[in-house]
This record gives sequence, C-alpha cells and structure tokens, in this order.
Amino acid sequence: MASLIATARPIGRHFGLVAGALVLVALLLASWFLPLPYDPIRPDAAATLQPPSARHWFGTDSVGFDVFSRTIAAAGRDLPIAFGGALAAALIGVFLGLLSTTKGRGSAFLMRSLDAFQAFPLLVLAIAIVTLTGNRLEMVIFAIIIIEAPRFLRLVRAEGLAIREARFIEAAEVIGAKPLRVLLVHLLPNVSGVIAVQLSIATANALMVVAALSFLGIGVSPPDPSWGAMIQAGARQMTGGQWWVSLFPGLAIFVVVVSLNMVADALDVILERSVR
Amino acid sequence: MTSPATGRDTGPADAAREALAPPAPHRGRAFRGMVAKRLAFIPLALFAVITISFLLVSIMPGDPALAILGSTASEREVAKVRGELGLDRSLSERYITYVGDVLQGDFGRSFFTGQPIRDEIVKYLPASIELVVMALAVASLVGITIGTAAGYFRGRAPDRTVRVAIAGLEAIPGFLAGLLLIFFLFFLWRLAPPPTGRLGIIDVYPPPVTRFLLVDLILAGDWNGLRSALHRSMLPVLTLALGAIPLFAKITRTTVGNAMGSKQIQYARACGLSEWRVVQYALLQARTPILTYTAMLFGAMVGGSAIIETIFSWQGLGQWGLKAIVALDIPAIQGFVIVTGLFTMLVYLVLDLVVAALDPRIRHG
Amino acid sequence: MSLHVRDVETRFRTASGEIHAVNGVSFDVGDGELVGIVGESGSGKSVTINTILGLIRAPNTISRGVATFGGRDLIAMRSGALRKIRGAEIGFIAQNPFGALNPVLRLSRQFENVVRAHRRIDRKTIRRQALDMLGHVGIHQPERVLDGYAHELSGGMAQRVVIALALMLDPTLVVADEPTTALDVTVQKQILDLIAALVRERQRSMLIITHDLGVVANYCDRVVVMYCGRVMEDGPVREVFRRPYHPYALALLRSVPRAGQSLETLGGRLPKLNAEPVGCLFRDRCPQSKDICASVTPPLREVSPGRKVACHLDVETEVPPLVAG
Repeated sequence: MASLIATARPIGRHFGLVAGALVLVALLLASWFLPLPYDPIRPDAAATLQPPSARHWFGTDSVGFDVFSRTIAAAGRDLPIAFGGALAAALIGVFLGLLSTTKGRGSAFLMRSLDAFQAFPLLVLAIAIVTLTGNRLEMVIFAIIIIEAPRFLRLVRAEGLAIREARFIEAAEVIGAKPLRVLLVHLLPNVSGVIAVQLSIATANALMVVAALSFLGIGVSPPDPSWGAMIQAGARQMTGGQWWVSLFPGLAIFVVVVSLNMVADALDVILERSVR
Repeated sequence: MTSPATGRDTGPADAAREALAPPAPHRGRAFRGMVAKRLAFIPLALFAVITISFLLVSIMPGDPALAILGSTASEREVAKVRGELGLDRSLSERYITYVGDVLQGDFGRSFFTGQPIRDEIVKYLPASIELVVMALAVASLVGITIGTAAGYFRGRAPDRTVRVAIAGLEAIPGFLAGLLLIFFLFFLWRLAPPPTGRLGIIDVYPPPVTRFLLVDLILAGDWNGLRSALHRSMLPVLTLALGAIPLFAKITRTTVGNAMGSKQIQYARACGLSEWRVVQYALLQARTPILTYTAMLFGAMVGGSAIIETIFSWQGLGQWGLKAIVALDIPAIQGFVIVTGLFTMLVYLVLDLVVAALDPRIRHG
Repeated sequence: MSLHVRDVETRFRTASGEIHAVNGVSFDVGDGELVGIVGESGSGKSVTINTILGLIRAPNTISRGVATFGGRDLIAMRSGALRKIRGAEIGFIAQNPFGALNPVLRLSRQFENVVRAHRRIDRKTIRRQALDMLGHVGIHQPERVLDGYAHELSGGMAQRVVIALALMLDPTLVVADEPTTALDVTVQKQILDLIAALVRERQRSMLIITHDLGVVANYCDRVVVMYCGRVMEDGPVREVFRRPYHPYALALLRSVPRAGQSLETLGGRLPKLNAEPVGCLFRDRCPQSKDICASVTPPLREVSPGRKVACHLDVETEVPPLVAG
C-alpha cells in the first residue's frame, strides 16, 4: 500500500506531463492506425448535415463528410505540421538567440530589426507570404517560423544574458574557450530546459496558426481534412444551428492546445524544482 | 546629481546634500530628450516598413503577373500588369520609385476595384479602430479585474479558478469563439443580431464626417442607428475581447502578484492602509506593464483582427486586407502592410510618451 | 504600551517541505523601553516581527503563539482589527525608504492615505500636521518635500520622511526594521539619534531589529539575541555586553573589531531549518557543546534578575568571559 502511494506520487506530481503527452500520442496514433468508420475524403451525398447519432458520432457536414472520421484524420496532418513548424522555429530562434548574447554591434542590430519586424500583425504578414508564394504547404511551416522564431530568440537571449553573468561562463572565457564553444557547450545546456517548455507552447501556438490559415483556405488542398478548414465548412451552419460541423474539430484544437500547455506547465514546474 | 532612479546615494557628501537639492533648472529635460529620441526612430521605422512591403512582390515565385492573372490571361493583359508592378525595370530603380511614391502618399491603385489604395485605407481603417478600441475596453476591464483578484490571492482558490479560465480561453481559436458566440447568442438565445455587418438593412448610414461610424451616428443625432450599431458590435467585440482577456489577466496577475510581495506593499500594510488601498498601490505598480500590453495588443489587433472582421462582415481594414491577399491584389497588400506596420509604430510612440508622462521619475528627470 | 511575545512560531510550507523560520520566540518590550533584536541575516528577526504585525501573506504559513499588546493578542486578532493597530498604535520604520515609499504618488498623498486609514481628518489638518512632523524630524523645507516625490530626496531625507510617517498618529510602540542599513554611514548616526530622541522624548516604546551590535550598544536598554529563529539570550544591554552568558552571544561580541585585539570569526554555518528542530541549534558551532545539547532543546531560563539564557551550560562558570584573562 505504502509503496503504491510512493510510486503514485511522482506521477501525481507530473500529472500534467503524463496526461498531456498521453492525449497527444493517442490522437496521433488514432489518426494513423485507427480504422475510421467512413472514408474521410469521400462524402456521402445522401447524408448531409446529419446531427450526431450512433451512425455518425460527430454528425456530417453540408457535403456529407463524416465529421468524426475527418476530425481524427486531420490530426495526422495538423499535428505534424504544427510540431515541425515549432521545431524549425526553435532551431532558428535558438541559433540566433545564442548569437545575440555575444557582445557586439551585430546583436544590437539584430534586436532592433526584430523590434521592427514584430511590430507587424505577424499572422497577417504570414498569410500574405504564404499566399504570395503560391499557397504551398511547406510555406505554412515558414509562416510558423516567422511567428514563433522571434519568441525563441528573445527567450534564449534573456536566459543567455542572465547565465552569461554567471561565473563559470566568465571562467570559460578567461581560460580561452572559443566563443562558439562557450555558446554550445556552456550556454546551450543551461537554456535547454526553457527551450523545452517554449517548444510545447510554440507547438500549441503553431497549431492555432495552422488552424487559422486553413480556416481561410490557405495551405490546404480541399478534400484533405484539416481542423481549421472543417471549422470553416461549418461556419455558415452556425447561424442555422448545425453546431456539430464546427464544434468537433474546434474541440480537437482545444484539447490539443490544453494538453500542450499542460505539458509546458509541468515541465516548467519540474525545471524550477531542479534549479532550486 | 545622485541617481534618483536607483534610489541610492552613492557619493560620500551625503550629509552636505541633506538640504534639498535646488530646483533643477531644466525640469523635464529628460522627458524632452526621450521624446526627441522616439521621434527620430520614426523615419527609420517607416523606412523598414516600406522596404518589407516592397519586398513582398519579389518573394512571388515565377512571373507575378501570370500568378495574379492566371494562365488564361492574354499577353497584353500580362504586359499591362507587369508594367503596373514595374517588373520591366530593375529592382533598385523600382525601389526608389516605390519609396518616393509612398512618401508622397501614393500607394497606387487596386488591381480589382481600380480605386486609389489611399482612399480604401481611409475608408476601412476607422472601422477597425472602433472595433479594436471597444474590444480592448471590454477585455481590459474584465482581464484586469480577474487578474488582480488572481494576483492578490496568489496560490489560493480565486487564483486557481482564474488560471483555469485563462488556460481554457487561450485554447480556443478566435474564429471558433466567434462561431460559438454566433450559435449561442444569435441562433439559440436571440440576444444578438445576425453577423451581417455594422448596420441593419433598414438603417441609414450617416454622412461620413469622421468616418468613425459610431461617432458619425452621434454627430448625426441618429440614436436608433447608434443603438443598432452598438447592438451589432456586441458579437465581434465580445469575440475579439475573449482573445485578449487572457493576456490582460496574465500580465495583471503576474505584476500585481509580484507587487503584493514587494517592500512597498509590505510597508503600505505596515502603515495600516486598508486592503483596497493596498490593491490600488499594487495596481499603480502594475500600470506600466499593463499599458505596454494594451499598446502591443492595439497595434497587433488593427489588421490582426482580419479573420474576426471577415466572419462578422465588419468591413474593416483587416477584412479588406485579407480580401486583397487572397486576390493577390499586390498594391492593396503593400498598402495594408505599410499601414498596419506604421500604425503599430505610432501606437508604441504614444505608449512611450504616456508611460513617461505618468512616471514622475521620468517626467521631472 | 508594552508588548509581550510568548512562544511565537512561524513555519512556511513549501514544495520541498516545511521551513521552521521562527521556533518559539519570547521577549517583552516594557513601557518606555528601547529593545534591540540582534542576529545574523536568516536568524528570523524580521519574520518574528512580521508575524506579530500580521504582515505575512504567503499561503501555507502557520503562525502560533501569543503577542499581547495593550491587553490584546495580535496573533489571534482578525486582520481588519490588526490593520487598525498598525500605523496608528504601532509605528513602522522601514529598512529602505526608497523601496517603501510609493514612487508615483506625491508625499502629501501618502501622508493623507496613512492618516485617513485610521482617522477622519480633513486634508488641510493632515497637511498642517504633516508639515509639523516633517519639521520635527529635521526637514528644513517641509512644504517642498511634501509636494514632491520620494525620488527627489536623498537617502537620509527619505528616511526622515518615513520616520515622520511612522510618528504621524503618535503610536505607543515604534518598530524599526534595520532602519539605517540602506543609508550611508555618515547619515546613519544622525538618523538613529533622531529616532531615539523622538521616542524617548514622547516616552514611547521601541523595538529595533538590527544586525549591528553598535546600534544596540548605543541606543537600546535591552537586547534580545536571536539565532535560527530562537532567542539565545535576553538582558540589559550593559550587562550582556560586559559579560555575555550564551556562547553564541559571546561569539557575536568577539567578532566585533576592537582596538588592540585580534578579530575572532565564527566558524561553521547556519543549520538548515527544514526539519523540526531538536536540541540547541548552535551546538555544531559551539566550542563548549555537550551530549545533552543534541537531544534536549535548552529552555530560555532566568539566570539572574532580568537576564535569560537558552543554554545547558552553567553559564557563570562554563562560558569564558568576553575578554580573556
């Protein structure tokens, strides 16, 4: 009994991490391996705008798509794009962030340009860029990078500058470690925790960006399921009371974002405890 | 002089300085200096904004004219668009012409409506500003209130409740929130009018004096129209506010929470000030970060509220810009980028001035 | 009015366990008495005072014990009632005036806020009283100070303003938490002279928290020596300084530089306070410690009239005198 409690405690402490990660993994696995009741890209013209029932768990939309099948299938597209975009943003942002902690005019210029750049409504700028470059899927990832990389940059810069003040970095520089070595060997490991936290937050944000873009029909090729596009498909039905078309894909976004934020919070707590 | 901002005496001659320093001969010099510095930043920022908007055309793959017109266009049409885009000239030549035109207020004409872009901006920008101002008013009121409660009771039940609410709100995309509000408030409960624009079919648009619809309605004395317009603002304002509430609540929670643990608040409580007064002191400390957030949101939302404007047919700058983007209306896209960027810069400038004017340490530097 | 503190305990529950910050502190401040609490940083001096004044807000804090002030127990008191005592009956002088005063409010507003928190007086009267009080604390141009902001003042001036604020409502007890540590050495003496003079002149009681033995020696009647959230020794300043009984008090006094003597330092470090403390907390650093010191917590016992020590040793014989020989 006592040992049961002892094993349960760390899980309880990491509840957010475990629960959040489980939801994400389950959703991804379902989208890849779960046998779906209907073909997500073949509509049934005889069954349009059916409310949720035993036959269509999440109902059908105005074309006759099964909302449940599409909601699950869309996870296999939206989640990898969001995570890939966040990861790419992290790589670029962290690299520039580490560089910006070095002294010199270059880093001051970098921060100034960043200020000017972030003054734009970045989502709209991203939409413009994706559209102008021909509405391709890989440009969605580029849009995510534009929006999320500056956050990584600022975070790493702030943390890096704080750590730079620490004695051991000074010591490493004094004994003649090369600047790049100082950045990679001494700074990077010390900011890796906050990067991990930011990565899960950025993935959540990226999912919102993917959803917003596909809501506008940007970066999706129509019959393929995507949560944002599905919400758009049900937008007109909201005034007519057919709530299920938009609600279920929206719920999927909600669940994923909450899970990712739970993971971020849990990581943050674990990190803080290990530092103190 | 001592450094008043850090609040510490450093020199050894403190005893001699026990008498109050004579009145500073240049009261407000620091303030004026700061204003000058900020104003000097504007041309630089303007230059950056124009450059980014110019470069947008160059990122188009292949022949932009063909992309805009589609492959079925005739050669004459393509040549015409190429001419309008200036693609027959060199990049540097085009850039200089472009900067010159923009600085003279000439943003070109829309490919599709043929209207001067400047006129379109003047027509659509006020609606966006009205929407964002209303949304920020609602969001700041709600967000600051719940954020203060959470910060004051940090770690206790009210804090936990607010944090769950924030986490929930943050996970709902704005457009989904808008659709849900339409479903509940319009379809189910009939509390709001349908999402079909700023005025009903029977309402008459007032003469455009300021071009701010609500202001013009007041100026025209059209109270029924005003009531209708406000009623129709309910859903979009609420939608946009729901997105901003978590941000206000978070920044307030953090700053008020930190302030509550500060020496200043501890001293205020040691002097026996009432808890209301203590909260007021804490909010005074939180003032600058909250103002900064408001300005950032204001800048980002004008233009950034494009999707919400589209859902509710608000006819604002965002909706116009989004339409231009989807239609590849290059001059309109460029005008949109310049205006939104410049608008944000102006908001930041005003923010800096307001923050400086509110802080006696800067004001009387 | 006198303050009687008995067995005050404060614990903070944190994620990594409980921290026992204050572990049964007792002392008295008699009518018209100036008492100094000395101890290293981390000895629980400030936490004790904050507990008594009800200034600890952190959730998961446990406070126990009794602190009687004018016949009322401050620790058991409801927060609203305690608030009315703070500022009015107990004046408070903060450590760093610039950290304490509100930077964005005119000082006149801050005087008004403090007075109005306790009494219904009109602005004009408050202003007259504030000007009066600023004059008392040695500010030459009170008008200009009152209409200005805290950042326009020098450190010494700002601390005078804080003193004026503390005395505005004529409190019977003044609590000063390290009142001069944030100030230049040259100003420290002026400020302490001023505080002591004002308190004595009005025949009020005062509690000074400090880590500076010189402050205690020059201004206080009685001294309370704290270590790890416990009182080690309590007695009249003259007697304790001439012949400390507790080995910790002895070590503390020996660490003060004196002409013609080599400076002694105290080895070891403060024990961690995250477990229920048992035995004497000074034992690891005490040259005279015995087996009993580890197992039994020494009670604070009266060894001679007015002098209390928390030590298992026979203090008269087993603790060496301050000056060897």
